[in-house]
Amino acid sequence: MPDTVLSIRDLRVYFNIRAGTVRAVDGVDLDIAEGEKLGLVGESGSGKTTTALAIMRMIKPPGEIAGGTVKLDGRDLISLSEPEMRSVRGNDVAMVPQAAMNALNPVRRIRSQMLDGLRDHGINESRERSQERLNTLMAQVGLNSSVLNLFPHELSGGMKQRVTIAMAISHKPRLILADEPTSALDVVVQRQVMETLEDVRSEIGAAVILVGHDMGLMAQFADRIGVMYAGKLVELATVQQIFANPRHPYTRLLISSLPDTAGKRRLQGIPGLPPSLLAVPPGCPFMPRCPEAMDICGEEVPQLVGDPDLVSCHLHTEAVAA
Amino acid sequence: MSITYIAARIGMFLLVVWLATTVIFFLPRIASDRNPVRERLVMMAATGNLATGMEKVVEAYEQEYGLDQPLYLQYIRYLSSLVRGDLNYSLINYPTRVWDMIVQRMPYTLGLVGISVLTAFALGSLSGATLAWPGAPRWLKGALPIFLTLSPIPYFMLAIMLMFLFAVRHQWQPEWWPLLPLAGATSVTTVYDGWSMDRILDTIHHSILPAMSIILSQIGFWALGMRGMMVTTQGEDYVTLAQMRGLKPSRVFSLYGMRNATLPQLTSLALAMSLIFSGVILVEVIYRYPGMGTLLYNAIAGFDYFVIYGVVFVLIVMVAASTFILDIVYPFIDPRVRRAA
Repeated sequence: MPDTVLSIRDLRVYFNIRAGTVRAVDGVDLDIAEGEKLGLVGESGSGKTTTALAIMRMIKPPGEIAGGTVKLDGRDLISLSEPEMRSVRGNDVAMVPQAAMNALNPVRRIRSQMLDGLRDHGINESRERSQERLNTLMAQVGLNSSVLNLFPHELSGGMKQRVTIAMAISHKPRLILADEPTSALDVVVQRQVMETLEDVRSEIGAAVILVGHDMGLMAQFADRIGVMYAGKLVELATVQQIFANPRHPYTRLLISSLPDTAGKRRLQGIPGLPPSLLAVPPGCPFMPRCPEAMDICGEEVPQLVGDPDLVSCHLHTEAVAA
Repeated sequence: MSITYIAARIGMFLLVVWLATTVIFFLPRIASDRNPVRERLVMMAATGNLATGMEKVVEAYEQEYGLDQPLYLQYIRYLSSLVRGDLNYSLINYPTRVWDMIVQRMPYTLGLVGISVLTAFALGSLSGATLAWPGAPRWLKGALPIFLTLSPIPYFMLAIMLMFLFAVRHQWQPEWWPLLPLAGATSVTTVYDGWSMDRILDTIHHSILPAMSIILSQIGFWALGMRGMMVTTQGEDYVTLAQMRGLKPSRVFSLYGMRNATLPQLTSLALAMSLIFSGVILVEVIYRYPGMGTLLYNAIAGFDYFVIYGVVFVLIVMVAASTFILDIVYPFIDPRVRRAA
């Protein structure tokens, strides 16, 4: 069993707005092993991006990390001071952002923007040496080193996303958070970018959390998949398990909503809407939409249980109990 | 940057100057049918300098200045002399050349405008940017409303207020209250020969109040614009990514925040230049500061047509030139316009 890189316990992120407290992430437990690729899926507003931002401690007001621990190699990030946390960002945990279109400063050259990162993480070396370093990074993500002299508007979407990947790996982080890194790209480029991400990841041996809702992409990339619903992790299992034998009714519906290229089956959605995170109903948050809801579902919040694959659903707690 | 871009900017510059000079040539002619030469001579006659044969003299002057010719011929004559760089003679101070009068005044106006606009722009933009960033100092937050209150007040009103407060002795002023010169650019008691260090210092001392009238009124304007731009910039993905990459807050502030938020500010600066110049003219008149504003004011009062034309022409060239310079510089500070350039 490889070492655990990241260990999240009871992570809660609340947004205090006038109408009340929005529980965007409400008690998430997650362990990620060294070099593991974890996919985090769920509908919009399920808390997957917020979880990633919370790991980075990048939750902005009115949001706040209301509780829990995020341990990176045993060090609790939540209790670090802001300057300490700054040196963790980009260095130990790196982010590949969602919209690479605007993720680079439009008025500065790629080279300057990459050098900023090196300097602010204490890499002071000769121009030749850092130039060499940047060239290597560019080669790693499949870009010509002449791209360094360009401005972001002179790059295509795929190239920009490669630049952000190069930035993310420049300090050989232990963990890379990729927040829908391909959502703004066309499918051909998507595949190339994901392959690049996988190549550099395996090269530096980092663990990855891939946030997204593209189940097809997840199936290709991830080792394990975590399914989030209403700020909670409802199922966490290996890719094979999730697709072959999804246990949570929400996961089942999510997978059956994928288009089927072989058959002539009609596209199927999940009826209803996720609950308002201002007032999550008692019991299982998925109960109002669940085709298999039982009496107990409205009364008791199911716990995330199982070994090694986890699920939080009364269908299975009873099975486990029985 | 391509040759065509520069050529287009130069063309625009010349077009603006030509249009503006044409307007200012015809406007005073339409507005009044007073005859400046005759008035001038009447004035001289009143003081006993001129006795007989006034009609003849008027004719002679009119011929010399071409004032007896049809308007369009005067216009062509005026344009051709402008092209030759000749701004004619002053009607009142004949035979002083208008150009010489302007050259004498120009350093004062350029110094006043240059220093006050740069100070106001720099201070305003910096404080506006700081205010938009988390952790802005409390005193700065308190100062903003004061400057916002000052910004809609016209420069000349501020000039009068400042004059009342800092150039005149009042009963209520304590001992230490600073008093600054009321008017002029140098002390009346000192005669200077050429530009010595003493004279420069004296001029700066005299320029404080005129400059403050402009600076105080402008800081709020630039601060407000910059704060708004900075708030927008903070929401940009590249600022968020810069933070997530663990860049130092000071670097994110300057190179990812201010660097980008300054661009629209510079555009506003180019657009504001004409307003600034017209405001400065009034401030100069109030402080009897020997710049081009005072020259223009006196020329208008005495219907000294060629001085009016000359000063306004030079002001137009200055405003158009500042826009032109910005147009040329802009592609260097915003690479996205470079492609269009």
